[in-house]
Amino acid sequence: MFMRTQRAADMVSGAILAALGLLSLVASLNISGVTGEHLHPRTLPYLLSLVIFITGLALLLGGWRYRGEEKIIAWPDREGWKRILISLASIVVYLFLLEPLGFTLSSFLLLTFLIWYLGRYNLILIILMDLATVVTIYYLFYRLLGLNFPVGPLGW
Amino acid sequence: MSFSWSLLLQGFTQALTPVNLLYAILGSLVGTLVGVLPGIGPTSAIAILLPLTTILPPLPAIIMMAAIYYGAMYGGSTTAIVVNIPGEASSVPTAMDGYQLARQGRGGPALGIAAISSFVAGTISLVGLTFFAPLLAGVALAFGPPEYFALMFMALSLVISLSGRALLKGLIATALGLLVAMVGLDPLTGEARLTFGTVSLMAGVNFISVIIGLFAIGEVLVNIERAALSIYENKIRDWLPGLEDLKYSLGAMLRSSVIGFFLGLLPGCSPAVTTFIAYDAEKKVSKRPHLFGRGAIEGVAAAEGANNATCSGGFVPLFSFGIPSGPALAVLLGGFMMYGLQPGPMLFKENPNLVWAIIASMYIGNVILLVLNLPLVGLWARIALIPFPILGPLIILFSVIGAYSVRFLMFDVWVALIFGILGYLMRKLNFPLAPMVLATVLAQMLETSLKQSLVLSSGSPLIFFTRPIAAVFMILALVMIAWGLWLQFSGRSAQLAADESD
Amino acid sequence: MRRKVWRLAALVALITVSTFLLVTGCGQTQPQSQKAEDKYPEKQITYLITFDPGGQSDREARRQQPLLEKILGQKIVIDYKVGGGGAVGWSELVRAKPDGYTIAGFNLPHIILQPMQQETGYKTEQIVPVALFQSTPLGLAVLKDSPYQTLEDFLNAAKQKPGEISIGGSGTFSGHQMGTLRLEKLTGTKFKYVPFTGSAPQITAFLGGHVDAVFANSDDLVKQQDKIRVLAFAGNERFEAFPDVPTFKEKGLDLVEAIDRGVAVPPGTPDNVIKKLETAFLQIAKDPEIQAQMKKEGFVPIAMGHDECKAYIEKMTGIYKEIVAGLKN
Repeated sequence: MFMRTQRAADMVSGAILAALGLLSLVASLNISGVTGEHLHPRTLPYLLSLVIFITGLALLLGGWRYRGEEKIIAWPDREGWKRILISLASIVVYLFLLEPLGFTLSSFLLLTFLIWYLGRYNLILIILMDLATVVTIYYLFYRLLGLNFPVGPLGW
Repeated sequence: MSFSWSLLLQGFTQALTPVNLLYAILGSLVGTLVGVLPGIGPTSAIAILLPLTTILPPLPAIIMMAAIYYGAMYGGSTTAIVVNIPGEASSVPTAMDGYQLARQGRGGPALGIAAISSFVAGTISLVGLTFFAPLLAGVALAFGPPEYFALMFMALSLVISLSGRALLKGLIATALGLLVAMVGLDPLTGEARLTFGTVSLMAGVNFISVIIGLFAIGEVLVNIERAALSIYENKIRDWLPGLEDLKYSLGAMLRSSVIGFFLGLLPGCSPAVTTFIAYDAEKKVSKRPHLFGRGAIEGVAAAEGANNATCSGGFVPLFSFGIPSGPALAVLLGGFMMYGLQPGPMLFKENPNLVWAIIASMYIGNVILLVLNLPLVGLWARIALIPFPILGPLIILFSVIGAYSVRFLMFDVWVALIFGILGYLMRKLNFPLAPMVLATVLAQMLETSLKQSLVLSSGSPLIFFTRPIAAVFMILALVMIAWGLWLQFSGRSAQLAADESD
Repeated sequence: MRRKVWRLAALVALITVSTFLLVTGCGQTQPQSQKAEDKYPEKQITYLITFDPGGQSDREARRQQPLLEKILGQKIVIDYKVGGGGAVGWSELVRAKPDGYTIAGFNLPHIILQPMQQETGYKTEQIVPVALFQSTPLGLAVLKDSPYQTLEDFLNAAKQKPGEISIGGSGTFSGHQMGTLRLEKLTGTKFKYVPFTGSAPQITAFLGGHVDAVFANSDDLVKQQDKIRVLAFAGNERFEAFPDVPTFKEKGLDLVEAIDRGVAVPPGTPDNVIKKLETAFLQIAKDPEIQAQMKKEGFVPIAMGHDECKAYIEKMTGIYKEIVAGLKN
């Protein structure tokens, strides 16, 4: 499997880092600046990109030349990947909904889904608990402390 | 601010009135409670809680603010120990040993030692603040741009050396952290850098989002993967630290108090630097350095002690010059000014009673925190017993609140999520997280002080070696780098790629 | 023991929570309707702050907040969009609906200089000023034990060793640097301009003697007055807290440089909405009690309306354009 061993992972991540270094190298060349007398605004980003490029290559080469014992990276199994991806997807959806729906409602939806998905508890219990949580947070942070969360169409 | 017993005593009588005492207790309590929410660190907690105090008269309000500050700092390290989620960069070293202890079922002693060490260091440095503030104020000013650059440089080289034989990956993590922190507007010239023409990226990557992402969200992802029912399987073995724990920690507490207090005096020195330095120093003097990172109780004591001592040390430049030494104290300063109080030499002349009452209340606040938190250790340690399917989503929720409430930008929340994924991958691929965090925290200071030094010296890097304080730090840094390289290449080069997981 | 503490804590928390709920829970927002701008304001107004909570802009807004609510009869919500030296918040402002329900604090010369430097997501003309209410004149200061007693001493020394005397300021492409550059241009001298990331590090380095002089905000100078000597202020008139310190103008140098704070609305906001806001802000700015507070903190209270602000911004834009053109060569 892809990046199964530490050696393969080192090679892949080294290559990715080198590419990233190259990308930011180009990007940092585009930094303009009229007032950088002794240390131009682009100098440090440029040097750091260079460091990342070189160390990335070193990692790649180190992995390539490595002839020692194979170390297996503990990647998740099929089920594990599924859980992670679905959880991540739900978080992404949550962040997208945060502004249009408001903090309270979208948080309630996230909590309900994620707790149900990870724990499979009784749905009614989950809903009651989440309701209590978000209402508490709403009153505590939004009403009491005046924290400016995004609010939904209904003002919460 | 010259010292006098009568003023101090008067301060105590004022701070000990029932009302002021109540607000000190209340502040410590809510500070701890909010700080203990995983994903909400001290800076966010203080920003969130500050409005609470605006309806009070000045003295109780400031007493409460200071108590919130202490409480939130303490709460931030609690989550570092119990669930491996430091609330602030300065709690990262706490997590390194504290979480290991918690996994071994010794979360209680770790929390207890953290509380005791915070108390000891806090009190020692308050004594320093009380008696020597006028003398020490000079220390805060002795550091100019070259000295700050040398100090930051040393801190970074130290963190690379902390990554042990994984030097290459530590170096990569450091460089990545520095580079990421440079996205946005150049702090001095305002030049847009690495923003690819987008306005959102101009806001820059806030290091609080980086910490929340790498630790809180990354940790949750790891647990989601293994379908954890709880964070760790071990039963809780002890509730409170034993005599042996205290014996191991006592020296660390005292040493870290001194290191923390003196570095805390420097307005440009982030508490993250002090805790890392104190932790590393403790590892160097320890008789059992191999235990560090695997659950050495003195590591927790050193990090927490330094953290708290830095907090108290930071009040010296705040009271003497009105200069805040970090984002949290800056918020606090804003709070002072909302009452028309201008911290600085004038405050001591115009309002000595107020200042001494605040100082007195900080002694009391330290006691309150100890009394409050030792009994609560059991409760905090039980956070880990909350079934993960419930705890995990809650951590995500609090992380969003924590990331959002710093600058009120959705951008910061997205950054936290991206760093969460990165944190997960880094854990899997055996990249160290600590160097990246420290690098993001230090990047701005490192670059600006370098630029300022070069302006001052008209471009000559010799300035770092001709000024004595700077030279000492630079030489220490170079020695540490040489030591790290020697460790690296004295062994077989094959270890370069392989031996990170130790 | 543990249970007792916990019970006590819960009790305390409960009492405070319920008290605060009583205090804060009463103010509810009115339902909104879609009527003409004449009825403005008929719902809560968001007052955007583009700098950190607790910073100067925030504190000013909080000082105005209760008075604004009284005058306009609506709730004022202070909201933050921090980042990019204010640019993030201002680009948010110019994209907001121009109905007067989103207003934002703005700073001069920031909104002139930022778009001059690069693409920032807003243009200077898009920030429609309502009023300017606070000015922070810059002063040139040295430490008490410095050999330079007067501005003349200082300038003479600078002429003798050009490029050796260092002046600390806050940021480049900022009012502080512009002040230094204008001084150089007016007097034919050359300084080492050392930028800092804000006034806190700037003043720290100055008090420690790491720079020879500073161009600093008046409020910082007032705070440190027992340790420093101000050589001259870049204001139109003498600064109240330092009645003995001359202005550059008195010394024959046409150098007026200040950080000014005001409030602005998005482009396209109806005139009578601007008018209403202007009236409210100017009324507060002219309040003697507010003015006294500002003076005590080291600021100069001003009260410039919409038209006056526009003219002022245009004038300053012209001045800065010239300096920046010189910089880029």
